[in-house]
Amino acid sequence: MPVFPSQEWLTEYVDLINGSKEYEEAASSWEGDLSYVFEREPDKKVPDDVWVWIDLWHGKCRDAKFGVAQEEGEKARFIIRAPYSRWKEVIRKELDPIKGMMQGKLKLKGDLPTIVRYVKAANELVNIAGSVPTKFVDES
Amino acid sequence: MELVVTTPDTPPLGQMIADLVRSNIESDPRRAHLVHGVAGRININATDVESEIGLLFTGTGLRVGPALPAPDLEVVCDSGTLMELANVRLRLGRPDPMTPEGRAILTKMMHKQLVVHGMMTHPKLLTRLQKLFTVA
Repeated sequence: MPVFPSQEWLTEYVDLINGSKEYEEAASSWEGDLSYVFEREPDKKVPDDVWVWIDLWHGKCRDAKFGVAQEEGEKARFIIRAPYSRWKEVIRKELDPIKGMMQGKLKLKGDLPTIVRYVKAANELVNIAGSVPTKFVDES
Repeated sequence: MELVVTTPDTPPLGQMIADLVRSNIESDPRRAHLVHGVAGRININATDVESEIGLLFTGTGLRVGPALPAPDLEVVCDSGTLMELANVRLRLGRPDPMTPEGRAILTKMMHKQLVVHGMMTHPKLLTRLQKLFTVA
């Protein structure tokens, strides 16, 4: 079972994105890359911030990179960041990402109207993350 | 002078709404006039995130912060409905009943899943809010 966060987890996630009809439909006109930042929590075995970059294009994920440098990740059109344990809540579907943004638990950098327009696609990305068989690094 | 400002104690929901309005004005500068020439107080209560914010139309700008006393308008709904409101096409300043999204909003109003206190007494203020808020 892939450990979150890791390259193996990301590979599984990308495969599921590319196999999702729901996501393809919701993001059919989406064009833009996105960085996720899993912020460091040394006491949870995440000693440094982890940057993941994914290139999303018309309902598919064209490319993805795990552990990109911050300077590279910051070039993405959108950046969503939160401490590792918040992401855990998102992946476990204990925290809705939009609610999380409204509560300040997840921080978004990028054009907010675009995210609002594609809120269904954003929710699908989270649903997909929740369906990756996941072992969390602090529980392994 | 900035048209849309936030107070230091603005809750995250207020920051988000201020960002949304700023971006909407930036992408369509014709919307800037919507924050001018009107004074009014609006509260938005997102029930499921337990956050209530206030929008103060000062006459020359919009100040977003914590909930205001004695609002002219109060919008009460969950966070999902708030997103739907931001995505709905407008016709004459109201959700367009000719679209599925518009009908969904009107249905929620009928079922009191979306409540707007003061909409009958302050219709123009509500129209301004909707036009500033929507991304559709």
